[in-house]
Amino acid sequence: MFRSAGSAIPTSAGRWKRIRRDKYLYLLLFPGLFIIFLFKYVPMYGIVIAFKEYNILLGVLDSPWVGFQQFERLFRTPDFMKIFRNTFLISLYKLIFGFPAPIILALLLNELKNGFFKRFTQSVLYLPHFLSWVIFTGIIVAFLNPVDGLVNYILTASGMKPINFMIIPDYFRTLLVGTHIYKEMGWGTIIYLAAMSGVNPDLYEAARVDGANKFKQMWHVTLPSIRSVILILMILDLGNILEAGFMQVFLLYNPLVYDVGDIIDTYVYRVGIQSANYSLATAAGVFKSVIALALIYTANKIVRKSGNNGLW
Amino acid sequence: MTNRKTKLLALTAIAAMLAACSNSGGNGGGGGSESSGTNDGGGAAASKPLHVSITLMGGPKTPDAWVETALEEDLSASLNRKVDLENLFLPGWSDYKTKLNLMMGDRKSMPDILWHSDMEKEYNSWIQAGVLVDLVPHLQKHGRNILDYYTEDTLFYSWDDGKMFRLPGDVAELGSMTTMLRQDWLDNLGLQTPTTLDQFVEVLRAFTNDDPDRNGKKDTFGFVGDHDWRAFAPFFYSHGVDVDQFLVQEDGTVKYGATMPQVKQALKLLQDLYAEGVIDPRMVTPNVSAGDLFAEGKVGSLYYWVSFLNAGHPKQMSFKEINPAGQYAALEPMLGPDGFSADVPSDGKGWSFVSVTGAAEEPDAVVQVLNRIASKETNTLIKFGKEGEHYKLDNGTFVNLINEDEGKQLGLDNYTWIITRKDEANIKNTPEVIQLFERRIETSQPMRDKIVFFKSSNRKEWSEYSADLIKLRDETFYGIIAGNLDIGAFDSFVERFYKQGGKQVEEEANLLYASQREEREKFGAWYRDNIAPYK
Repeated sequence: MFRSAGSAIPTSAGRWKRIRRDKYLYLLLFPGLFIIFLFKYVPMYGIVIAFKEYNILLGVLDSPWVGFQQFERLFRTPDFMKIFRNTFLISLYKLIFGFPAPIILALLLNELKNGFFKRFTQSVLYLPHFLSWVIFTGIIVAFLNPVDGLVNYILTASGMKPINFMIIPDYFRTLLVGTHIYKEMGWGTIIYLAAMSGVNPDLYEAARVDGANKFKQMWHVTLPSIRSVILILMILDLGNILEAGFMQVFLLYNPLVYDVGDIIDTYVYRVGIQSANYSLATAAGVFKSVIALALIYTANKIVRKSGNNGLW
Repeated sequence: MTNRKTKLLALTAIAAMLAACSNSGGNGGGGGSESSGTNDGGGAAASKPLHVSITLMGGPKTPDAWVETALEEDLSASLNRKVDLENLFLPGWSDYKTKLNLMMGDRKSMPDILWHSDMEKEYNSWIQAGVLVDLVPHLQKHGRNILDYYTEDTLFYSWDDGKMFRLPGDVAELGSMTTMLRQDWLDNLGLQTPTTLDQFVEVLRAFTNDDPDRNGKKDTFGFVGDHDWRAFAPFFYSHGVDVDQFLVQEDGTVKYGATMPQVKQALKLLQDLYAEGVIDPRMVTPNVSAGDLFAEGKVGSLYYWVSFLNAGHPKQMSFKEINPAGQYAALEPMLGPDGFSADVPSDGKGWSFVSVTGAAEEPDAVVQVLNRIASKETNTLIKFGKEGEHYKLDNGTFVNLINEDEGKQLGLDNYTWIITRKDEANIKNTPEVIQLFERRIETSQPMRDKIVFFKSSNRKEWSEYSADLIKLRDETFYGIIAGNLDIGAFDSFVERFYKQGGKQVEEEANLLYASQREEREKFGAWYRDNIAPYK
């Protein structure tokens, strides 16, 4: 990460020398690391409540131990397989369709010559990322409203019957994935564009000399150059595979699409409201994290085996 | 880079972190305000000033508002000593429980008057920890207004074997919802007011298909409501069922309403009406706001809050602006095929409560404060302001002299849900609406007799299974209504219900019902001896 002028000195004396030489960079890094430590690592001890019957007034230390009972309760839920399947499928679709989208968009943006138009377009594309899902789903619902939404207005104006999109199970996952891509596509291009701007222009020159057109250039020059970035981001995304997007699903779903739309997080939310069962909620979180860890580890191993730089 | 620069950088970094971390400032719930009056001792009597900290959840949460001073003056005059209120405004609905738990975790931060809602587990733990004051002896001495206002049935839910550790802060009127429909549409179409379910359905069909607003377009719906089962009351209640409650059957046992056979008939009817377009399709998703549709005026009938029929209600006012000729009329509940009819009863339990904590130095005086707030004059003062200045009464009809924003500035409603009266103290209700409320109490009695309102918060089987059972019910019922599932799905629902824990839930309900009836009798005797003489 910190490129220094000399080559890496493997001795420990050398390591301290490097740290002292880069001390201001480390100082700059320190607040961020401290916050991550304080808010992500220190609270980890709270995971123990997944193995207890947590009672707010007894606190974490005095609540009774129950072993794996909370996990059993989670798996015993009548619809657990369905819920797990929904979670997995929704984020898998988001991965398959949502992963290439920012790359393609970044490739297109990369080709823009007009500086003003390029910057303007980028800003407009980033915007949906900053809207919270609350606002965004409000807009979506207004558009798809069966009585006076824009889409149905167009449908009825062309003589067709209005469709209540939100209650059709077959459309629900598409709705989730589509709106997710729409919202996050622009933001995802940032990293790719940054990587693409680091590509040596001589490579393009050489490709053009060899007779490559724009598409061939993209395929043979740009993409391979940013391959490591793509792989790293893919590994990270795989780690999030059970994170299907609580806020979005919660705001868009309704009882008619529970079958296809209910995910682990929305289930835990409902159980939490009914019985304030923090232990069960934590158990679900631990379960998701364990799976995510296994996936990241495997994916990283595969990537490294195939000769590229992994995450570690 | 010199040594000085290093030190400067390090100091800046540390200072930045400390600035980001400090948040002890606004910890009074974001608005702890002391009363501006200093202790001059001259005006009030020789007794020492009373300082009362009170948690507040409702209203505009305006700090340092007119209403605070007005209430302090009123309390000081009534208690004959200087009263100083410390408002502890609670954060929003998703955070208030956390805040209250934090405050109650330490004796130093406990408020004198604790408002709470939907925190049964914590409430029971507070009682066990001994941090809540038993209010009975204080009420006997100073609680006349409170004991007169709340009924015996209401106080039962806050009774703990001879003691009372909380009082209801807000109890909905016992019948607060009614069937309502557009009178002007009925007149336009020349129809009679419906009294039975079948007549009601015919009227709804006419409202949908016969262009009742005479604008040449087929853009009206017969029926709409919020996304909850209460909104469908005319259909379910006329069949004698409530799908969200436990009902006492003919043989005295208790059954979950959603499994009763009459529900199937009601669902079939709703399914047909939905397919015909009589029911607004937005009802089956959570993104519906019946209040807005009420005001918009494109819907013929709703089962909705009586208060919306008040001329001063914001939605009623919007409705009149958009539809000057429009008129909603309240109806008697529809008679079903078995001749049964009822309105939705409130449980009379109260949905929010106030307790006095151990942090109060003079619990007796705090109860006096609560008692004064519970009086008609003070209740009207803190809700509506001063007569002549903020409102006037034209022959008994309430007329607002200030608009909504001014009301918020004054802090009106800051002290709502701390023993809020719903009787004549609520002067916003027109005489017609007061009559409607009273009539609703009568019409909801048939269902109140059938529904079991559980007192106990310790319902183990319900806590365990209810989330999944409710999900199953909603999936199935909304699916049937919207036409995604056919009516046969009801029978499979009943089967699955019992297999998935419904059996244990109903057994527990029956046990609780029996023990609750015993407890109620005990309470009745206790009430006669310990409360009735002090009213």
